[in-house]
Amino acid sequence: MARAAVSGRQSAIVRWLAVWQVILRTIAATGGNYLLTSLIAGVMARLLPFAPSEASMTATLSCFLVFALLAMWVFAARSVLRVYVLMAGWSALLGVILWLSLRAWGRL
Amino acid sequence: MKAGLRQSMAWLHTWTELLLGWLLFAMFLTGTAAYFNDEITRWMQPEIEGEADPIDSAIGAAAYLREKAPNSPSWFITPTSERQVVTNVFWRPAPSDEGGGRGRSATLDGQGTEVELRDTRGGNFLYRFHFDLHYMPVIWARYLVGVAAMFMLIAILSGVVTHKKIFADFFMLRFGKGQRSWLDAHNVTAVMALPFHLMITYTGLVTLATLYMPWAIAANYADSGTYFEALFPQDAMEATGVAAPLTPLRPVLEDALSYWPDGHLGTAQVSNPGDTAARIMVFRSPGDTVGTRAERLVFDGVSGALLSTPPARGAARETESVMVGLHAGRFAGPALRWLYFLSGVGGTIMVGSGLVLWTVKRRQKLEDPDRPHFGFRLVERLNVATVAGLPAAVAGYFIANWLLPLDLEARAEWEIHCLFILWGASLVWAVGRPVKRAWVEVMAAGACLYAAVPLVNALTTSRHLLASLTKGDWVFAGFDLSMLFFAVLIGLAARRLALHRPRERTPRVRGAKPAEALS
Repeated sequence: MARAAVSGRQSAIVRWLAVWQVILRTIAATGGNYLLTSLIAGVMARLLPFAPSEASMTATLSCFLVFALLAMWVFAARSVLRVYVLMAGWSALLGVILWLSLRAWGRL
Repeated sequence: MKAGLRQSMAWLHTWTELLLGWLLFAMFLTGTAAYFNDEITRWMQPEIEGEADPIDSAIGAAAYLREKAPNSPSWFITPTSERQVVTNVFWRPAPSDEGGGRGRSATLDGQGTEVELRDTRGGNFLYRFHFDLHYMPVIWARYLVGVAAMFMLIAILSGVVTHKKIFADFFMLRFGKGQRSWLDAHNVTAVMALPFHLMITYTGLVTLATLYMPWAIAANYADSGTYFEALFPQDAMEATGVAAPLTPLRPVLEDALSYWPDGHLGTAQVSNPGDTAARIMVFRSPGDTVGTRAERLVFDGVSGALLSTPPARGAARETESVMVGLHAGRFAGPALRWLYFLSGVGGTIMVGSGLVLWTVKRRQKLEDPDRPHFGFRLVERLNVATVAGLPAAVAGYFIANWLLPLDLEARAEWEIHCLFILWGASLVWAVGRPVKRAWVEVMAAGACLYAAVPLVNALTTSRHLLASLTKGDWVFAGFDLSMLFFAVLIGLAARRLALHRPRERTPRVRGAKPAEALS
């Protein structure tokens, strides 16, 4: 009896954790993903060695593949924590690069 | 989620597809129909037929506009073409004009006379619904459609990972085996046209790319206007206010055509007609090249001299132009156009069968399959209304075009209302009936509606199937025959479903013989 109650509570916790996993991964795969993809596109547009309009267009055209692959990675990654740490890290790095390049030479 | 890449991809695939599946189904269906946009419009305006020379039509249209809108800042003339029997003109009214702001448009015949055609949005409604939806602000519709397309891209890519055995499965089509058959239908339509689906989804996103991802442009341009100006130089000038007669159009258009050997005339734009600053921009027909950002020549509107030729495009720009062109398929001749259409039908079936598969798969896992929970029933009913109801409603749209009184106020809008009323009715029916009956009945109704389209055509106009077949009018004959084809297709599906008896849940399976299942 008591045992069943414990395992019942355990399975409730497991289910609750699973729900949170899905919610957190969904947030990462949508909002976080859009932010990171935008930064990747922005940095590509700044740093690709083409004319500005060509670099912007190249980045715009590729960003959908980037977004899709990142979304798949978010759901395939081993842990949610890993997803968030890596996403935040890359976003910060790209954000700094973008900021530095904007400081170095302005926009048209 | 902990259980390996394939499982998590399968999970992702299932849920992304379901969440936006209904919208994607509608997008696929109307987008597929839009490959015959011009032909549908011609069928829906049976008053006019025949052919007219594009240059003559453009000259006629310019005469019409000189009369109607001499002070307009710009005219747009889209003359007749291989696929279009009328000339469409659009103009911005002069600021001083009554009513102001909003652009006006008219439909003209080959001589530039305004023609009395029934008020309809024709195939253009299906084309616009594909990305603008209806009854909602366009901008929100486009975001929604973009989210759906992105889900579709993720569903396709994760679907490829899920169905690694997909090529083995491909040779093991199992008809008449319940869930297995739905899965096979889903896989076969998905794999056969996988390159098409991937292409159409990606290029679809590209058509509205700068709306969804403006940041790559923002990174280089403080004002996106600068970017678009660099891409599409306007060349129009401020009006000087000094009157000067517009140069005759024929030499200008003939000049333009000689610039493009084998080319065709697209839209001609005249800015500041009757002013010394007049310019004539002649676009090449989008049917001429895969790339859709049509080439453009600029002429002086007073002297008729060629001022500028299309600037060379960079590789990325050219890629974008070709991607959008591949999506819209305007370059496609009849054979390729049909291939586009059939691929689109395949895509529609793929999304539809994926939606059905979702419920078939889950029904077996339900605690009490005879009394499913609310969420499951909701999905089931929405599936009926979408997969069976929407095609029926589109047939209703065509029938409304023939049956609504010609002098009805806001007639074009009412045709569209008819589509949505029918679509809504199918949902009400799906909710009110046992689900299997609802499938059969809505599909049967759809088959009847499709069969009725050529019939109503025969009863209300002189351009019925026999007449168009003997005349060799392939637009009308093709349309009527396609309607009959869909009537048979949907009818057969309804019949199969009606005769289908679910197998008993016994360990010994009395499997259907393949031959019998195929019939």
